[in-house]
Amino acid sequence: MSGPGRTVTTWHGAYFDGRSARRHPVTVERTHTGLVIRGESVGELRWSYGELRCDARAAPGEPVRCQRGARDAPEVLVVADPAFRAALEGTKAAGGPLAALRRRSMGALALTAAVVLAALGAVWSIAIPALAAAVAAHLPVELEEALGESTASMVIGDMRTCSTPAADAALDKMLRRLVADGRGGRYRYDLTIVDDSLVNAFAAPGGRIVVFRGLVAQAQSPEEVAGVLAHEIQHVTQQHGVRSLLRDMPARLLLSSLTGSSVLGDALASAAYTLGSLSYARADELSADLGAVRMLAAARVDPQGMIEFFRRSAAAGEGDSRLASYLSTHPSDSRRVEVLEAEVAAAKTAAVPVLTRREWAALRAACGR
Amino acid sequence: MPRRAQPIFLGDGSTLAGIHVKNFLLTVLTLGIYSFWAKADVRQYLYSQTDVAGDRFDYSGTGGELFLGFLKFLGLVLVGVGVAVAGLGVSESLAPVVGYALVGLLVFPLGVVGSRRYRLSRTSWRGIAFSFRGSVAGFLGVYIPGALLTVVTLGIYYPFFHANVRRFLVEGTHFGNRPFEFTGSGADLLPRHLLLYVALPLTLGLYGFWHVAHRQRYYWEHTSFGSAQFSSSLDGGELLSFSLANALLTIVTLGIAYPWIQARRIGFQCEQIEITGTEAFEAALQDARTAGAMGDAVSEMFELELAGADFFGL
Repeated sequence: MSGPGRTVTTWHGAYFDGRSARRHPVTVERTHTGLVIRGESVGELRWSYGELRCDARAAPGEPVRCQRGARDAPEVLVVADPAFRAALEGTKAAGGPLAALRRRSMGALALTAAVVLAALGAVWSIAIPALAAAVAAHLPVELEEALGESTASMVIGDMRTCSTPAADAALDKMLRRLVADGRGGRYRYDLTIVDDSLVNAFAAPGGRIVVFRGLVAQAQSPEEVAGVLAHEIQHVTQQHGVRSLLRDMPARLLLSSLTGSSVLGDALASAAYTLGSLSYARADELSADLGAVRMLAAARVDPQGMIEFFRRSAAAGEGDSRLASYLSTHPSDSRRVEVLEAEVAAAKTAAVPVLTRREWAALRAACGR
Repeated sequence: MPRRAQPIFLGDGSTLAGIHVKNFLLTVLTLGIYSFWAKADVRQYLYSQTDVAGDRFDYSGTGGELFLGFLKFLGLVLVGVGVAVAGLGVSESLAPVVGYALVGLLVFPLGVVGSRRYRLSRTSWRGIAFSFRGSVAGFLGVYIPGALLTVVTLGIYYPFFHANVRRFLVEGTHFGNRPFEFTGSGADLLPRHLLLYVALPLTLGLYGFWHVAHRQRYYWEHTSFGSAQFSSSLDGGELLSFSLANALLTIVTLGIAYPWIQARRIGFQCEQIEITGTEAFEAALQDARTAGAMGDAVSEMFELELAGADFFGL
């Protein structure tokens, strides 16, 4: 470049020494190994390409800013001449020594993105659920009950609740069978039948369980209702509601912080809405199923009732039956039935009927139809 | 003869719009994660386009820092929720009240002080870093008594409160090893403030523009850096027409004009300010401070810029 007979190109720029804010007018020359900076007040400085960082992020036409030294107090060289930028980029393109002209390569960006996403995924799928479970385990029962109460009242809305002395007694008998011997954990259960044709049941945190009239009507035996109840009780004892609420909280906070607006208020409102949407994560459903089989076995209730109910609702999923609505919130398929049958086979016990024929009739007549 | 300088904004709305569009797309594609990098990107552009006495500001903050600050804050929130509910046995009906009280009392000062510390530590001019050295305790010491006195005196104390916050912010700001100085006092602003009680209703609020403009002029005229003196030529009428034009632009373009308005606003702010005796800045020596980005994440999260931190202005 600077061989004999060739004029050496220099550019005008400003140099700042990183110690004071004094501006030093300089000329800059490019060599094979680096930049040579000369100025009346600074003498001659040699920056090798290896130690300098140039910022080429700014749009073409913008001054190039190169710096050297400590990140929080670097020496800075600013050259406004577009030709200087072109010269630096030319050096890089020719495979020259100026790899120091930093451009964010797409490859590095993609790699960073992948690493960040993987780390987030790990936090998401491992750390946050574990933290949620740990926090949920230490929540006071009263808090869960209050949460369940407001969720249940949101679901029930202005639907009529069904209650006759005989039906209440039957339901109570069924419940006591299931949760006897501490199987219900630390919760007091509160069961309500609501007058709606929906074939579904719903467990809110703290032991609040809502059964729709449609479910009792579609069930062909008290054991089927007991099976669904056991499943719902498992959601309560395994704290699926509060755990999913806690698990989703970081995402909610993130989302509402990105959209602006009142962060905590929004997050809590949408969390309450999710709890009220009657559905839990698939993994939670499976876990509740398995827990329910064990619960039924321990209570000596025939688990075939539960399996039968799931089998019929799975079959109804193909047709347009009211029974299919249970599917919409309890993802049920033949695989679920298979898993349950295997579990039941493993825990074979002599069953005792849950309700007498008279009690079962009273339960079915709870809503007066 | 002292040298004079005026900040100049060299950027333009179109470039800024391009940055915003790119940021928007990437933010959507990454489900929001990119927004931290987007913010750093916009700041980097705005700072590097602002020139004082022939040299531009430099912003070296990164999206990664902001993201980390955000994660830290999220962790704190989770811990805070856990402690309040599981540890202290706070009644759940009172939890929102306690939560909002904590947010109001703590997040605002944390966001104001922390975000200034972070942003200024990443800002430099002529290779010399700015820094903010006011503390959260210092801010609370100004903010809490000021807010209380303002309420107790039915607002009469307000100019003292406002000027004291301004003093805290200005005097905490350093360029290199030297702080900015503030000599203003609420007492000087009191007569104008009292006039406000009469003039605001009579002018249907329009007098507010002249009031704010006067206060800005007063603040700048009482701000200095060594022998360098700031001044401002902001006029109430100008401020009114500028604000009206921005509002109209926003409405007519359904908000699409935002980048152009942003550029216009910075240009407008720069035009008003003049510095006499810029050589004082050249005497400043490097004295950089480190600062984490959590406060800034808090500030972004609760949109303090819009919600009122900016109200105290700098």
